[in-house]
Amino acid sequence: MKILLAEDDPSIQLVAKLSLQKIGGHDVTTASDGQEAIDKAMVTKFDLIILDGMMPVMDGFQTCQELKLREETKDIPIIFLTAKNQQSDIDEGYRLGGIGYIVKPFDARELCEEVNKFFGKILWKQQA
Amino acid sequence: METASLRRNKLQRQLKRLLLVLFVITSINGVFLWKTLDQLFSSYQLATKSQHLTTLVGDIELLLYEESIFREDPEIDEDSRGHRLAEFRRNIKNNFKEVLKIVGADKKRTNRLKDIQNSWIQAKTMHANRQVLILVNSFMKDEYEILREIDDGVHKSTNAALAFIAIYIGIFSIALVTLSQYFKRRVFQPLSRLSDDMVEFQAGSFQLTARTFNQDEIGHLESKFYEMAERVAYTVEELKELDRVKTDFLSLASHELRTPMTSVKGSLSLILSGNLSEVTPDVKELLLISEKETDRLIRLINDILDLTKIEAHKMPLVKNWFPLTDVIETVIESLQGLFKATGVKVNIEASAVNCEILADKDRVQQVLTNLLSNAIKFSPKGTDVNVGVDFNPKGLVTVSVRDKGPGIKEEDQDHMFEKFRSKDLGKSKIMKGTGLGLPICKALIEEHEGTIGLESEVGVGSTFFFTLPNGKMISRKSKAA
Repeated sequence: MKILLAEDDPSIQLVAKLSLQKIGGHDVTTASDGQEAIDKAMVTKFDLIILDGMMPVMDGFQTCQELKLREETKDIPIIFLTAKNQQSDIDEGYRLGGIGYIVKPFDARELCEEVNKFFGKILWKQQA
Repeated sequence: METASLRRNKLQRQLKRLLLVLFVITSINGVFLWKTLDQLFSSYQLATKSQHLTTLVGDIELLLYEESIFREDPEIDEDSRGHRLAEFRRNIKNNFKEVLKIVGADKKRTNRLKDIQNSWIQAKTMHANRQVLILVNSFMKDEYEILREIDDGVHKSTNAALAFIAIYIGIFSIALVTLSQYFKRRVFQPLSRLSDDMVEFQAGSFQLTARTFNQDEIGHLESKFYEMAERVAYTVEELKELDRVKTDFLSLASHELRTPMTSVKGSLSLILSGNLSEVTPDVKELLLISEKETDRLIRLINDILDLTKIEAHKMPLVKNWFPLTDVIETVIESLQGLFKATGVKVNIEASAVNCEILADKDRVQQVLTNLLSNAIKFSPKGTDVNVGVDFNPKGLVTVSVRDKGPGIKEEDQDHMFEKFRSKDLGKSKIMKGTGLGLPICKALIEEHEGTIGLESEVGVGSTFFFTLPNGKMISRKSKAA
């Protein structure tokens, strides 16, 4: 599966990328801020976009809003991967169109399990 | 201090001054009015006397005329003439006597009257009588003149008295208007303004419009109130700023602390997954220790942030009605692993009532999980932990967790809910917690306006309990449904 991972912290970006590649076996493209994520999503068709909550230039929530407004990207499922653990933040993530919400710090195996779970849901929906 | 005291007494002094001026003006007017009335009364008395006098003199004139007719009338016999004339003379004499009494101290008029009386006594003929009549007539004319003058005086005095009474009414009307205006401007208007501002202040508007105040007691009260409002506004602003700083700190701390932990935890779990390269047993053991301690550090960070958020009221409660037994069952279910590992059993007490409470379900669950997991950790193997629910008709729900652990010394019981203290106090037992579990429980229950506490006896066990308001019983019917 082609995943776009938007994360500004290089260490977390690397860990998450390696986890998704090595454990989950996914094809991962990275972006360091919201705008870069939008630019890349406009060029390449991704199966899933993972957005960090707090990023420079454009944060994850704004990026999600922007992606949902564009014809080319509005149907791509979005998962938030963020340190914001308040119920209000989680609710906001779902309200903006996210299909999942993973709170940092995350376990590499759990991250992949969650991602696979979402892919399972997507596949099940597509088959249905 | 002196200025303040002067300002404080200003209204009182002004009122005193106003009343003094009013008193002086009315007193002066009163003196004039009194004099005028006195004059009026004297003139009236004089006029009465004068009128009486003119009547008497008029009578004398008439009697003299009749006497002169009698004296000369040939048809009257001498006997009755003499008799009648004597009667006339007696009457005339009496009248003269009375008139002289009325004239009294007025020498000029007395002498004149005496002269007339003498002329009358000496007059023996009709002609002489007529001469006396002319003198009386002249006196009468002068008396009429005097009476007219007295009448004029009465008239003038009456007009003056009326004028002074009118001045009185005028003064009182002006005083009334002035006083009402004075009270309106200096007392009622500032008080009503102050009252409006107080209502606004009470409603939470601390930025009141600046205005000038009267230099008096009420102005002083107003200015002090405004100073107070300004101080409150300043404090509120400071508190808001502090609140903003707290929120910013929480947000920053949450992000800054979690970011490095994410890299560490993620990396460790990735290496441990064995998907990068094979891990030797020694390395794996070390990595597991690192992972366990990382998790502990993350728990500590989460607990500190949670506690800070609750204490700063930055963790809003999502309150809903839910059956308490649901939460108890969920918590017991989630702790099954721990029960199995420790060999401790859990009982929901038979007396436990089935009720619903209005609270944040996740937070109540968090508190109960904490209390129950502590009870399990401290219970000897094979013993029971009891969970009880009590319902008070006023809606107060009490949830208790009773263990048969070692118990807590009385002197330590008060410190169990203090940050990082419970961990020290329980160091005889191997504790894996952060030392913030019970303080978080306390903060969460207090955020619900409930209470938390414990009862314990060394060697017997401990009961931790919390109470929550807003409970209601579930009827058997709805429970069955």
